[in-house]
Amino acid sequence: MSDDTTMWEWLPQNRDWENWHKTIEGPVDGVYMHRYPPENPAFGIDPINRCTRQIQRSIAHTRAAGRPVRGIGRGWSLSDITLPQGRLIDISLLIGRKPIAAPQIDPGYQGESAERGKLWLVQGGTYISELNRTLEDNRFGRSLRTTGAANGQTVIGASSTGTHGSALGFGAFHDQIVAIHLIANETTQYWLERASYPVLKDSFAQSLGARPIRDDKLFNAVVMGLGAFGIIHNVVVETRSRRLFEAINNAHLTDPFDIPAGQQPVLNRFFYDADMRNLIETLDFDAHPQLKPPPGRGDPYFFQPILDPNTAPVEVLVTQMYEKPWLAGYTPNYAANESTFGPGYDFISVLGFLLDRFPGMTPTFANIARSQLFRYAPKTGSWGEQFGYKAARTKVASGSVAVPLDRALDTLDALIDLNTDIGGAPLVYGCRYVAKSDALLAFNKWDTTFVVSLDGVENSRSRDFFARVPQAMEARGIPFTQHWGKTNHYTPQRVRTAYGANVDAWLAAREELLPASADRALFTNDYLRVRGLAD
Amino acid sequence: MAHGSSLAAVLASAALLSGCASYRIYAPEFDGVGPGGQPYRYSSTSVLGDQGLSTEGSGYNATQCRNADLAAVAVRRNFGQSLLTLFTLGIVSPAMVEFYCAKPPDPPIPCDCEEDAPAQ
Ligand SMILES: Cc1cc2nc3c(=O)[nH]c(=O)nc-3n(C[C@H](O)[C@H](O)[C@H](O)COP(=O)(O)OP(=O)(O)OC[C@H]3O[C@@H](n4cnc5c(N)ncnc54)[C@H](O)[C@@H]3O)c2cc1C
Repeated sequence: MSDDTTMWEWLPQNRDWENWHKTIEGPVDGVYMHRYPPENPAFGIDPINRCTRQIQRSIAHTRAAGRPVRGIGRGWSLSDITLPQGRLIDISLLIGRKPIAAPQIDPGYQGESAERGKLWLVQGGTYISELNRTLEDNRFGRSLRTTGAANGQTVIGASSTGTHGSALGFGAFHDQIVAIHLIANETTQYWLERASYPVLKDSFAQSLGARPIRDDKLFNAVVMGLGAFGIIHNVVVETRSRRLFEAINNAHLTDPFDIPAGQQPVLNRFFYDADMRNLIETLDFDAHPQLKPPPGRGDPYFFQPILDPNTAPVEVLVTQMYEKPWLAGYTPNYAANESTFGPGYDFISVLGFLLDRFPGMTPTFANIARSQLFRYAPKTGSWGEQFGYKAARTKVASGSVAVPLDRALDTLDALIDLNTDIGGAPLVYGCRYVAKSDALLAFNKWDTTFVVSLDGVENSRSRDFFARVPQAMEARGIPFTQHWGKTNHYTPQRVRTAYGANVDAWLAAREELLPASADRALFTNDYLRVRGLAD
Repeated sequence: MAHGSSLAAVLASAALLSGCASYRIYAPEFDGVGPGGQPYRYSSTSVLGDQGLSTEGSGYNATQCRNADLAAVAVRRNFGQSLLTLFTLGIVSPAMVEFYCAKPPDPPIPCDCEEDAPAQ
């Protein structure tokens, strides 16, 4: 059978498409489902080229029908960025990945090319879970630097909206991407890198039939491209050597990793007091009486305080993760354990779990959240284990507001006041720290960007809260951005205010890579139009 | 009157609960896939129970998964379906079944690396 039969399928849909958390829905004509070559060849140029041909076939097919199209990842976004008002191209079965062989690396590469297996070619449908599992395997001994809290996004789905974690001193997921293979239409493919950071020799792009382009602006537009530039088929990800992470929740008073078996850890309770405010704003761990690093450790790799604004005084739950060397013989266990929660920071799915079991819980949300959200016991594991599987699929709310670190406290105060004004929205405020990105529309745009992840129960109060957050920020003169893949209230004006000249650069990049207006229209949806990013 | 209001309360809670009546099984490493992130779906009505009839015959063959396993299955009943099941004492029991396929095996990874990476 030909590739046309085995690797490509058009699946018309007769009911509305829904995102993972069932907060966004809308009609979709159908889905182009792409498959890897059935004989499952080793990942490399030939299978990539066969998959590319099928992706280009989908583009031709949708153009012939006169319908817009966009790539779809796992459908996890909580904004309507995924709705195509047309068709979807699904490459989540295209999951090839491999380390880049040394002879393919450009001599100008500045990223310590001597480090074995640092650069990985990853096919766009690969889930973060799959990439973690492979990288952390004994064969390779590598790791991602950061991801979101859960591991279910596709690599391109995650990067396209700015998915981030809270790794101190590092950026968002897309900041690990150093080369992009973009399918712009039926005949045009690009291999994009930054001119300031060359990665692979041109011969690699040529073997794909892609035009190599080294240009910082174009790369920085596409790497967090909101699905607007075509279909991203492959990327090159820069990895680091694998580590273990020790997670401590609410800083045990004793050395958390020295608690005799069977004994309960002694925990602190934290409130949004002067010490906590100072820590949140300065990241000066040594200055906090209880949250200073254990003896002999530097600052944590990961830090996340979560404020519960519905308690008086406002209570704070704190997770710190310290890195330590990998232990010889350690084998990660990635399996989800639904009966307990890890010390990750995925409030969305944790609340999904809670709502499944306590549908009428909204009024008692704060108490239940406090007692259920944390597994207080310390946990050691790989990156992929700490930020792993989350199974619940139900209706929950999530949005994020991002600001420069020196406005962190103003922002939290504004959100707490807004919550009081509204009469209490069932949301908690997860504080995360993300280093600056070069991506033009990255919401981690300040040297240290302070992101407040507003997660909780989806109801009229939380919706009202999200709608009023931008006004609250504007009223206090706090510069802010919002997460593209979560509930946001961007208007064209707010996008302009947030990103300034980068908006024009992003639009210009789109015109340069998709010079035909018909091509731009093909990858345009209402989400982009409403935010002034397309006509 | 009291009887009427408690019946209304029961019906109201039934409506609420059945809106989310579902039974799910997930693989512990849930890397499920369906078109555009959606589950594959089919609705089926079981008549006369386990060994009886079903609109899908003796079972549904998840050909969409090709050679891959199932990663998750959920059975859902909405209010109307639950009511029909109740009133017919389970003899006629419609439901919506949703499932995700597992991902196929990873493509082999060509690698010039050694068998075991150094612990670092
Ligand atoms: C349980 C859960 C936990 C989350 N945790 C976090 C978190 O910790 N931090 C955080 O920042 N966010 C978090 N999010 C938000 C989530 O990471 C983002 O919305 C992410 O974009 C979703 O990835 P996805 O694979 O589902 O992509 P989708 O939502 O399916 O798509 C996102 C965008 O990518 C585009 N796209 C997808 N594939 C392609 C392709 N091949 N080519 C071109 N464009 C493409 C789509 O068109 C769309 O514009 C969470 C969401 C959920 C549901």
